[in-house]
Amino acid sequence: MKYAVLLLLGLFFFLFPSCDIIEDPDGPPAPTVPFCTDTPAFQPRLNPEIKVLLEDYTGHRCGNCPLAASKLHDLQEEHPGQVVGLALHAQAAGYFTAPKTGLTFTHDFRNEVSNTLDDYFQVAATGLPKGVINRKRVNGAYDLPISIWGQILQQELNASQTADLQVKTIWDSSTSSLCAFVFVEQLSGSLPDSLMLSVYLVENDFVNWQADYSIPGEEIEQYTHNHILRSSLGPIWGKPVKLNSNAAVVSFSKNVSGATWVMSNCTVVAVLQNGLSREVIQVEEVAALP
Amino acid sequence: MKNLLLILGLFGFGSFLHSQSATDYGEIHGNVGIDAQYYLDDAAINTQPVPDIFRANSFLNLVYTRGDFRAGLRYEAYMPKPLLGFPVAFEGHGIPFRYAGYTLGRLDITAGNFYEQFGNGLILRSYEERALGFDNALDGVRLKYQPVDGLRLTGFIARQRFYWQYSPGNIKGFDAELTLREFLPKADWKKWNLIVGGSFVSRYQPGQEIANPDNPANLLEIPLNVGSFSGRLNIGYAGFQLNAEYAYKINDPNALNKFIYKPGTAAYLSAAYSTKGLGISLQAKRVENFDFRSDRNAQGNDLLLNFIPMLNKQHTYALPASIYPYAVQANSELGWQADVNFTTPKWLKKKYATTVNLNFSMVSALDTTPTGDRYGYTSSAFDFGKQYYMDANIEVQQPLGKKTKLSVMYMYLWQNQRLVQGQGTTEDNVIAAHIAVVDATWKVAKKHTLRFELQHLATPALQNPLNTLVNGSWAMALVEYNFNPLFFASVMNQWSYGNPDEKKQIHYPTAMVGVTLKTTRIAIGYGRQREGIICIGGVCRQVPASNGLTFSLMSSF
Amino acid sequence: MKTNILSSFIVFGFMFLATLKAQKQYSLPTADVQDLKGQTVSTSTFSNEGKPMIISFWATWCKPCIAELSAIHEEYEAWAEETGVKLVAISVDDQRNVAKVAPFVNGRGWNYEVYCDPNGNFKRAMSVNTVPHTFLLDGQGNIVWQHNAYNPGDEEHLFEMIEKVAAGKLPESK
Repeated sequence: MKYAVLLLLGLFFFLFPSCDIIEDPDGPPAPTVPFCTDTPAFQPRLNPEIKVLLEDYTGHRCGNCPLAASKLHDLQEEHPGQVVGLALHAQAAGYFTAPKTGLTFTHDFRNEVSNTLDDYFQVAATGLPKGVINRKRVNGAYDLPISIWGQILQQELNASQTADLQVKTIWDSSTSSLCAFVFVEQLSGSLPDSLMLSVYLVENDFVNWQADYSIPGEEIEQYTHNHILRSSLGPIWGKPVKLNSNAAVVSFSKNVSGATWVMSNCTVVAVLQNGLSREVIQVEEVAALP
Repeated sequence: MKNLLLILGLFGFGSFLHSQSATDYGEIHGNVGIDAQYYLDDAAINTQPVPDIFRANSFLNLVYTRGDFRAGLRYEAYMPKPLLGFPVAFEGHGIPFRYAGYTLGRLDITAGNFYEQFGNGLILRSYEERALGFDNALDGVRLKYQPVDGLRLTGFIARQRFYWQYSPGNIKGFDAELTLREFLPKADWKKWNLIVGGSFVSRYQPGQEIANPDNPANLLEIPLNVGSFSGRLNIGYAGFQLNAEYAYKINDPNALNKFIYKPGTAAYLSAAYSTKGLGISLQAKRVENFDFRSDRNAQGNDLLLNFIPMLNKQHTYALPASIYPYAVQANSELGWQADVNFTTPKWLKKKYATTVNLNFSMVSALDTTPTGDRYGYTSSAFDFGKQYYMDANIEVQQPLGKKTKLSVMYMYLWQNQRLVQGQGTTEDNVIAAHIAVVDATWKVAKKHTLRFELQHLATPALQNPLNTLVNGSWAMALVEYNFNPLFFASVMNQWSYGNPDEKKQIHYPTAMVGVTLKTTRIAIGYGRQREGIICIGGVCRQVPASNGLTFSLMSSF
Repeated sequence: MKTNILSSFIVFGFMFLATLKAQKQYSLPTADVQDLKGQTVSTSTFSNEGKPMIISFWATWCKPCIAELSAIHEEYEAWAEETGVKLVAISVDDQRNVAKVAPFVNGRGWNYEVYCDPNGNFKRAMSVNTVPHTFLLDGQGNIVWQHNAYNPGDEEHLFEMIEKVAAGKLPESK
């Protein structure tokens, strides 16, 4: 019986050093380097094309989601250069996007940008896969099943183009900083009073686990994930655009040190939106590294 | 296959023991259950095509006792895949739970898996809720010791079950509880009763590299050891009972609090008075940044270490329980509840007494101010922030004679769907619903009874519902026939007639028949299952819409 | 995969057969429960001085359980007088509802001996799947009969069993 007391006492004292209180969780401040200040020259395009944003709400443990990814791929082939895809892995999809702690599905695709967009459009909780096209409601809902993507996309491509975007990037490898300049040009027709411009960082050719119901075994280790929305340069909902004689240049920058993305596989996506309705007016995608 | 042989061997051994005299070889008993479903496609409710259209969840528990020795195991099988809505990570079969224990006078030791709860569970509760696929069993060594009468000590070191694996964190816990009436039996306690207790739980988890979201050039400094403490008090005097517990957790940056370093706190207070024919209880709680898990990255229902009791009535009728259920917000909650039960007294000379339950509950977020640094926010102690939930209900039970019993319930429900469903849209999405339930039992003849249930949920349709299939008013009817104690059959329909989208005004009919043979119950059902959230205790699970044939078997032996 | 399915069916089939021939009686397992004042009590102290005892698992949110205990409540005095039987009600409510158990029981005027099992210690030791689940113990504390689920009228069958046990017979299932 003495042993029992000793054991319990031992256990009790063993517990004492079990608290690590962190005194300075904020750490030292980030260094500031002058960067992203020299605006490059832009020339209006001779034959601008309307481009449409297709946001694919997906998840690595969503077995029907590869169907949506291949549908997006097909639509991009059908309309070359005119369909910009974003794959959003939002936290609200719960199980579908949550990483596992074991050996498989450990990568956490979720991020603040996807979560914030989904918080507003409320797509992920309605079940995956779902798409949002140009952030417009169709019959009252943002979330569109794969079956009608092609039809809605065609409608958007047929609309008249009111603005054009061009993007140029600068990469500073010493500080791992990315800078993007976006040229906004008003074409025919009117633009809303409130214009917001967002710039997102997107990673392609990322090989990792994916559930896929279309194949036996259902879980693929060597699946290529494309259009992964990773981060935003500047505010998620963008910076306001003030047009000066039908044009403007807006600059965005981000320090990506510490991030594990392969920058040479990344693209930058600029999205021009109506600041009130959040509907997309025009999109542009270029490689992140110039 | 190895597991299978082990099971068969153990079971053979068990059967062998059965046939022997119980006193010589100890006793073995247990329970077994199978839930299976055959899935059909149903375009009206958006069922997703699934591979493996037949799926089953099964388990077998065996408990062996002989004198002061005990041992047990649980075999689980989710084959070929877990039922839809259960975590896919359960796929497979094996023995996730096994233990052996011995009681030696005042000392009790358990090695292997065990469940444990300290006090009200604010810093530790390990338990199983099979219907939800929830099991956070601990695996390690536990000692319980009673050095003197009235003083109970518990200590353990363990890891937590994570589907077929273990938590990355190691958990240590210690609890002491003193019952003064037993400790000082000679004192004159009159009608008083006093129990005090304290506990400590800590998690050790190896570090990882996480970039500081405010300053991506730096990594966060992650605490490897996270400790939490709690103290509790239970005072009783005659029909009064007061129970209070306060818990504190040091900095625990985790995925759910967005890696902030603010310490967490939780306070729970309950007061009750009861006498024959009348019972009143009042409860209040305040929870701040108190999500505690054995992995700082875990989310959903995974690897929960603590249990924050919900403060609203646990509804069991289908519409009030599952259309707009409330889920605990462990990172920010301030709420209270009042509950009154009474039975009409005998001097009213009513032939059949009426039983009434009144319940009111309200839960809000804390009123917080962001600090702009890694401590996240500050909060005011007792100011209500945005309201999450409110529920006022009355339930009356009245026998109408020897053969008929009637129960009616009315409930008003208010819920901010945006905050409770945890998806933080920019606009609030508020549900206000009136729910009425009538439940009548009619004993047709000896051994034959019929039960009827009518339910109605009235709410205006929303512009932006979170779930377009659950929008607007609902009606439900149920008829159940029992031939005691052997057979039952029921037919039920739920109808979303108030959905603004006519295509989504859907009937969800279900029929079920079953037999109960002593402790074995077998049921077969067919119908549509509504997409929704099932909650039991404090844990919820999202179930997808499905259509198909279900089979269930439960047996104890 | 096919063999897995097959083997699991074999295991469960075997288990099911075994349950049908499970032993008739066994003694009450030991676990810690709480009385309505929050004091820890060991189930080894449960006794009815040589008379039959009912142990009924229930919860405040379980409608059939409440129906069962209410039905027995109406007959309880007569039963106790005739057979000396005592009913021990074990509430499996978790911490969310534990504080409401005493007001609930008293509000209905039940005279049972009530304990709480908030983390399911005794429930697991007794292999209870779902509530209501009712056990009948003979005077020596052996479990001699049990039944799962409740439908109106089931209490009459229970009383027949109690009478048999009080008369010293082993109740055979029908």
